[in-house]
Amino acid sequence: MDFFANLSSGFQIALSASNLLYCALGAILGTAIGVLPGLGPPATIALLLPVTLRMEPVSAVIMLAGIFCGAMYGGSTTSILLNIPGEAASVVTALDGYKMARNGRAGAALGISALGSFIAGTLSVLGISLLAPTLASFALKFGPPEYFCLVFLGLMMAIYLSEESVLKGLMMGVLGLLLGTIGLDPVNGTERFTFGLTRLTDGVDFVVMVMGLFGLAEILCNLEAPENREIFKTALKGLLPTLADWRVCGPAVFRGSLLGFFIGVLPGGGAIISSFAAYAVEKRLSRHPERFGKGAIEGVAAPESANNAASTSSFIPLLTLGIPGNASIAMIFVALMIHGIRPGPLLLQEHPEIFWGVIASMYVGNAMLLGLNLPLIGFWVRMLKVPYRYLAVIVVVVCVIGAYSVNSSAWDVGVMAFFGVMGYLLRKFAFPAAPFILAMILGPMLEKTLQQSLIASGGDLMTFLQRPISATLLTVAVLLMLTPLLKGLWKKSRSGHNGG
Amino acid sequence: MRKNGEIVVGCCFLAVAVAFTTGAVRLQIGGPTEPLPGFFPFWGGLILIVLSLLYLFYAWAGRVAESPAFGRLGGPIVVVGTLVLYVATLETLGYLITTACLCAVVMRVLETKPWVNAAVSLVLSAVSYVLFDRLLGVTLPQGLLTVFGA
Repeated sequence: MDFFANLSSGFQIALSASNLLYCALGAILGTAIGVLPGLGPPATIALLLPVTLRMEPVSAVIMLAGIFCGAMYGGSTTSILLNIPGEAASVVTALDGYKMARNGRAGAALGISALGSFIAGTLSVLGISLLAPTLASFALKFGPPEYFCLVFLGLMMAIYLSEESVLKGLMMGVLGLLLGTIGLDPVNGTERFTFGLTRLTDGVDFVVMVMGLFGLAEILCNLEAPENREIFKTALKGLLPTLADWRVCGPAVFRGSLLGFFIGVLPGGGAIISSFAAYAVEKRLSRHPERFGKGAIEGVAAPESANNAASTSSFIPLLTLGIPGNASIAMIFVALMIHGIRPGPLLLQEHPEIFWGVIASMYVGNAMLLGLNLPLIGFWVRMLKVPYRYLAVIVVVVCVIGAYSVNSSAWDVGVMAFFGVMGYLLRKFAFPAAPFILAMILGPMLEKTLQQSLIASGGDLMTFLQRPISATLLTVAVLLMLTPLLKGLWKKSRSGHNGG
Repeated sequence: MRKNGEIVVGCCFLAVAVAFTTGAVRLQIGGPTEPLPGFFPFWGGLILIVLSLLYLFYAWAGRVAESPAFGRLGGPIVVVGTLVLYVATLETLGYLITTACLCAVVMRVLETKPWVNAAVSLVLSAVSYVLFDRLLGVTLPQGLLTVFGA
């Protein structure tokens, strides 16, 4: 009964007039920016985060949840209509979604994407409501060694699942950990790597850094090449899928939701891998796999459901363990910290209004996206027709104002520009940004729990292996890191056998 | 050409790693029983040194996976240079003037017609100022506007 009482209190918070407005505003703004090619959810949240800094914590997080859902939805729109995924999780959607658009079924593709996302989001919210409190109470038993191993595993998963090479992911992860040490030592309070600059005492400002790394870097990349964007001209009619479509899509949506939910719960897991996995599963289960890639509607329904379910369930490690699983959730983690709220197992006890408010707002956000965005699809399409030069200059101005507004300082604009250049170069050399961001956020926690574990055990490194939970987590993390090496050895031995 | 770029990137990572490691030594490292402020960055720096050397080896051997090629570099260089000037003059000249100039440069790089460029830059700068400074309460630097008592 507690569960229903808590959830209804969450809905009371999320459905208050002001929070409803913030959620709607977040969903619309998130979609508006998420629709722009290249600007995925982390960039969208980064660009809009400063807007939420002056709000009440609950309202701020509710708006960010709306932005997050909106940005995910916006990414799918560009995939279907432009064949340009707004974010990596929508890459798979483009395979069949764009083909559907070319076959004159753009409306049905967009409709099933929105409806599938809504159903998946609803199921996922139900899952969070049931699972999160149990996990939070379990996490209360964690000591520093368990936390250290959990954070370490989260980082390793982010590196392993990053699109680029594991070596590059590791380099970015360690670089993030090192940059995270700038400022005050979390244990002794000693200043480190600040060069006597008081501006660096609190470390590198995360919001400013992410704006540069995602927002400005995206613009710099696009400045290289002349505008080359074709909007597929088609009449947007028949947004509601037919009964025949539903017969095919119903099971796909359900399977995608289930798969996405469980992948999203894993630290480092999230929307990207879940959408790929759901597409692969549907293709394998289909009686006509040859239709995939040629405009199969279940090829849109399954990944869209999966990525939305995963986006929602990725709040579980954040809210219950205090560990953000991906770059977008990391941004929400930072927003909570800015408002003086520490996500983790104690969040449910100390700030139940935030916990249940966020969960309820995810549901409200999904419903709003369905109610607002389906009728607005024509508007988003028109927005995509705005020449890129105008959109680019608006993004630059938003980045500049956003960076300046954090501390009312031109220094932060300079830091944003620095990270913009860094982000641009890293993209050019295919270094993944997600492990860097997560490492910067999780670095202080990793360091603190490492030091606490070592001090408590008298410097005995075996402490991590003597406790069952930490030993299991550490083993999984090490195995993950060794996988590419083991794969290589296995391939070599196979080719050796074949050759011999 | 590409290989040289990869080697330069590897060297940058190596330089950062060495800087953190030496800085950590100055902070004092301590040991597992009593870790001091330099402990974590020291080991982190050391790991990054090893990874950077490994990357450099792969880059030198041409075994780094291919990454997206550079396009026309003029645009990004001009915009970054303008941003540096923007940061240097933002407080003194004020938001309106510097932002209008920044917008004009970005749009120039994106090949906008001069009169459209001028109009959009001025309008965007003014609208964003009113929206953020006057309506949303973000204090943007007024610079030269203070002369006119704005």
